[in-house]
Amino acid sequence: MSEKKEIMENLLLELRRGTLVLSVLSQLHVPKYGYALVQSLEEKGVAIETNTLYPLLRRLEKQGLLVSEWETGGSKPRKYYRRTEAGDEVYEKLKEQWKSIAVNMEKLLEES
Amino acid sequence: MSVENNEMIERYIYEVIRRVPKKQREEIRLELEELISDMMEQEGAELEAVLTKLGDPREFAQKYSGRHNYLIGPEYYGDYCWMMKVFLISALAFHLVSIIFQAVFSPGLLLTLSFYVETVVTNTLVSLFGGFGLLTLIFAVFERYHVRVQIKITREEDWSAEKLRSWTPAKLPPVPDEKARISRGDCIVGIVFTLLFGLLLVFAPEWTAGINAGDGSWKVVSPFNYGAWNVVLPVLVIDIAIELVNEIMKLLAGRYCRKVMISGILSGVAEIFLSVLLLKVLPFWNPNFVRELEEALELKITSHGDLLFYWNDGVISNILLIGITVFTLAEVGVTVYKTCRYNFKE
Repeated sequence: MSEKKEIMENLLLELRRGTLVLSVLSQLHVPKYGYALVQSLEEKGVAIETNTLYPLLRRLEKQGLLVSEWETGGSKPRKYYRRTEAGDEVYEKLKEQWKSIAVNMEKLLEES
Repeated sequence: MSVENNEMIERYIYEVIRRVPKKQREEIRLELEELISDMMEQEGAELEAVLTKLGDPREFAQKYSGRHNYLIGPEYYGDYCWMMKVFLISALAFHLVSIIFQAVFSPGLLLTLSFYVETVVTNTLVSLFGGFGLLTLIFAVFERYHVRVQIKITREEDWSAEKLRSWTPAKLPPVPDEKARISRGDCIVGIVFTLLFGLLLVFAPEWTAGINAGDGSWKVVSPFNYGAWNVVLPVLVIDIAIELVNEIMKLLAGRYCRKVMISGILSGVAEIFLSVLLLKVLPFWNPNFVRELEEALELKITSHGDLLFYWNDGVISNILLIGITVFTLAEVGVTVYKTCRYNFKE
């Protein structure tokens, strides 16, 4: 029983992991700091673990899809992330892919 | 924020950043400070609840530092397995033959417990595990520092991850021409004889030079210079090891191809070089051979009809060297010819 549950959890994790980058990129057309991003995703029903998000943001920045900036004007320093031009491009392409995947998956799932 | 809270936050952040690369520490520290205070403010949660939600700092750090959750990744795994196979086969063969060899030459050993405990079990295990560990360590270092290994040139028929990505049916190697195939039997015979020769030199050097003194006792007189054997032997062993590796490459490839050709050329060059080193530079021959022989046999070699009268190690070195060079060049020549003739038409 617990083995089945474990398998289930792993599969779910894998499924979500694939959508993570796309979810994050979708929100960063405007600059957002980490926690605001968590919240805006959660509001829209997409749960993401904080300890996954932060390292992911750094990775996307390293890959040149995001750019970050520290803003020191407020009550405390905040790091804002937003998409770069390359990030926009990748995001548009991923979005197209996602749409076609979603349509095809829908078809598949309806059949069964 | 209370002092205790601050201390707790500091502890948590420290536990994360001490596990990430130095360069990133300061930035990650700032990020985490921002995150924790945001979570507390906006969720109105207690610090403990916030930290619990963030989870084990070790896991957090692991995610930050990325992909090094494994020793050897898919990029190197194919090469690693291949090298391991080569090593294990040769090490096992070496030990097996050496055990048989020792048993044959000193059957008395079979009755001693230490032969089984030390030679058979301990030595074999130590060298197998030692080599296994060393090879694993080398590849783990490659993985860690992303050292690009180009073993791939030498393993054309294998589809490692990198190959697979750009693989096309056109890359299928042709079935080798009958004449380009290397017979397994030949290789195995070559390996066994090389091993035997090596073991003869290592374990029973004196056996090569026993002289019956006539009164039933054996005296050891050798044309080889055993006084300098600690210098000569390592060179011999290296020479044999190179030859062995070459033979194993041939066995694994099963046909003449670029990797066999490269290995053949390298080992040929090394062999000629080491032969020159042995015969021309190192004190390979026993300078007192004839005198010792005379003493052992209690006679004087003065007759011109006696073959040993003409013993001259310089001349023998030259003859051997010419023989080895001609033989090695012929072997390399055949390998290069067969490789170019039958393999490059791919």
